[in-house]
Amino acid sequence: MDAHKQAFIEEAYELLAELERSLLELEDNPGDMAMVGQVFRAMHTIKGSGAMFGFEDIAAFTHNVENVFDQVRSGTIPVTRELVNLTLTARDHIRELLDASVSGKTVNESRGVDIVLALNRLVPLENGGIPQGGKGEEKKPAPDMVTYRIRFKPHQDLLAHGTNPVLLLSELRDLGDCAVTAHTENIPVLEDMDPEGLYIFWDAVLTTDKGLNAVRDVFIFVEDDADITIETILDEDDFTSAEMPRPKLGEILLKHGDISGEALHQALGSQKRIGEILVEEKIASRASVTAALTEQNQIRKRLEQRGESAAQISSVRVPSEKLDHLVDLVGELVTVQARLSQKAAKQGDPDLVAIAEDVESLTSGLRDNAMSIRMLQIGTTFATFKRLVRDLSGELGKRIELTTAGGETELDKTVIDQLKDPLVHIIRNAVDHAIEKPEERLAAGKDATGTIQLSAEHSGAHVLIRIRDDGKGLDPQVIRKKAVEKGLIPADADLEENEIQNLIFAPGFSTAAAITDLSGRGVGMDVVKKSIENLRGAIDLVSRKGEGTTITLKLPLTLAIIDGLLVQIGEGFFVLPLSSVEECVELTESQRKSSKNGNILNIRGDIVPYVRLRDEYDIRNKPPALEHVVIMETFGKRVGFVVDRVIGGHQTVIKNLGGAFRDAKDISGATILGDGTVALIIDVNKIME
Amino acid sequence: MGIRMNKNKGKQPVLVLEGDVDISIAADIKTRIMDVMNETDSLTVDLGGVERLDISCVQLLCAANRSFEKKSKRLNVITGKGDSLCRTLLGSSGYDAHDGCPEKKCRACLWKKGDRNDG
Repeated sequence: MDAHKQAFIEEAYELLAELERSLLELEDNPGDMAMVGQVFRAMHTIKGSGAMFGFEDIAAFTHNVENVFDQVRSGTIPVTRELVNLTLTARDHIRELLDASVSGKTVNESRGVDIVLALNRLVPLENGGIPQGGKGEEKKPAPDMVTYRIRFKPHQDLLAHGTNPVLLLSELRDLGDCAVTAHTENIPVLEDMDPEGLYIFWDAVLTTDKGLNAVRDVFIFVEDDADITIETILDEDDFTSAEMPRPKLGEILLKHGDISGEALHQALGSQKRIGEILVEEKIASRASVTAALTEQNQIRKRLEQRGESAAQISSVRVPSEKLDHLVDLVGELVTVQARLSQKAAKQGDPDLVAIAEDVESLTSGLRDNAMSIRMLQIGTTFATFKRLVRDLSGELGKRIELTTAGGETELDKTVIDQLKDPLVHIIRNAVDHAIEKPEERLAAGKDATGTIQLSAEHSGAHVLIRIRDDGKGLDPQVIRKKAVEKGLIPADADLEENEIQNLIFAPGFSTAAAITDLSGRGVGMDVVKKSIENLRGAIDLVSRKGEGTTITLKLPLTLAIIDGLLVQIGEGFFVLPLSSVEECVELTESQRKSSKNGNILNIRGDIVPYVRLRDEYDIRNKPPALEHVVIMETFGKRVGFVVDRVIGGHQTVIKNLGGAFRDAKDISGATILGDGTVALIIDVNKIME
Repeated sequence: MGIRMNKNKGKQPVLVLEGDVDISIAADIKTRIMDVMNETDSLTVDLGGVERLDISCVQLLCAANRSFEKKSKRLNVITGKGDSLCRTLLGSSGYDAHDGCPEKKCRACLWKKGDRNDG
């Protein structure tokens, strides 16, 4: 597929996501005309670019939807739930068409026809049609004819972006009586020409009853690639005004600032030129060229005055594989830099140390920069759930409102990509099982509309994502009974409420009485938990019967590099994620021996259990007399890890362990130290379990 | 589709453009014209076999015309069977379909009907 088509597809997917967001917002605020405008513009851009790049089916279908929304914009059709429903369906159909153009599959065309028919039924019949809303609406006066002067001056790279300006001019002609003049004065000699640049620009005089919006819409998707000025030359009011004198040509030009008084004077002074123009009046181009040249000078002057407008913020689309590769390379660089620093420190050459320090600071900057490029806001993912909740609650006859907060929180692209499925599952569960039907809610003294709150926030090197619902909550007794039935716990197990609730994450657990369409397809919360853990994250659940459930996901900002604390046990090196480290304390042999109640430390009055990693990993050489305990915290729980020696902070590039180590559950990866030694990265959450 | 430079001994060179003549081959067309510009007094561009033409090529030929005029040389365009296609594009691009561009910057417009081409 050629690059332009590819770019269109990418842009269209983005626009569709935006369209969905706008539609859902419109449903909440039906009077928001700005939102109607956004929907219209998104449709218009998809249609226009679609036609330009040969996606005729998409263009044709979208055109129909756009027409309807044009009437919404003009107030002929009200924004109703039905309209939003249909437009959402239409949006899905466009997406299907796009998917099909990528995969080469065929799409059920009759579905598109049905949608268009349904949409058209919303349009009131123009003559003798059934008035919407019962009351006879005032008949709209015939639309005004207005003459516009349009200057369309594309930037030089318009053609290279794949836009065909001639198609836009044709679209302009379709609006009414239109004369277009090409300005070719900027075409250079061949030697100086960029063959792919565009040097021509256009002036058009258009008389139409379609309104200014329709004119603007023609250029809607080249707004960033062209300077466009639209001026009203003559409107209906000018004709109705009794006192309106017939202005002379020069006066009109002067009035619109197209020429200066001086220039007019000069022109009038040389009668021959005016005469020449009059003689050639039938050739409109000559007249407009003269006027346009003056106007052009003015535009140039204005542009010079605000020179900063020329410097535009630009962005570049880059395939994500390239970014992945960049991060890989930066990762390797971090490793090499660690080697360099170590070597420099060993050799004790001050020059080399200085260089190593410079390299370290640059590498760190490069690393942060590379990682920040991959950061995406989670808001886009959140927005897709709005639709999910809307559709599912509709199907189930429930009333649910999804609120989101912290959409601007950024996470690594890989994390966001892999987060979507678990989130969908959690939200589906909330909609399906947690939130009650309106009548049940009212009976329980709750608002008939349930809420699901989706929020994201930063917490150190982690992002916390919370999914909170005000549904019926988890019933510990039901869960306990089920867990015993399934043989997950013995009947007499002594468990706290929270522990029981967390049993829903156990493999093979499902409390749904009946398998519904939404959840309970054999994919349980254990899969969700596993997905989150694969992201080196953790999941926590707090639920109160009758009040609701909060699920918290704790995710690392990135999967590629972490700041770790390098520790040593015996001959082996390990890395603990620095973000969870609270403090390091010493553990003397006598302390160890005096601790009668197992592995427990007293940290300023707090009781903190500790794990001896050398026992955990079966490291048998003699421990040093003075060991160190690294106190780690996760989800409010503190645990100490006993190590031989704490070496210090270490920027860690995470390497996956091969398949042979897939059973090493409490190791999340490995890293290569400066001297080539491998250090294992410990998954603190797993050990805490 | 293609670009071909016909150079017959003793005759002026002819640049034949066929099929899809658009921005994707604009750079190529420029190179071909630049190659012969200094060695010939006149060049003819044959658009008779063109099936699709876009604005980039129109302005490229205008630029070439300006270069030729500057060197007091001559560029001709033959539209032949492609005439209506060319005229349609000119008309919809804000040129005069039969009179060429409104600018009149060139001494003789490349696109003026009956002037320098046999379309």
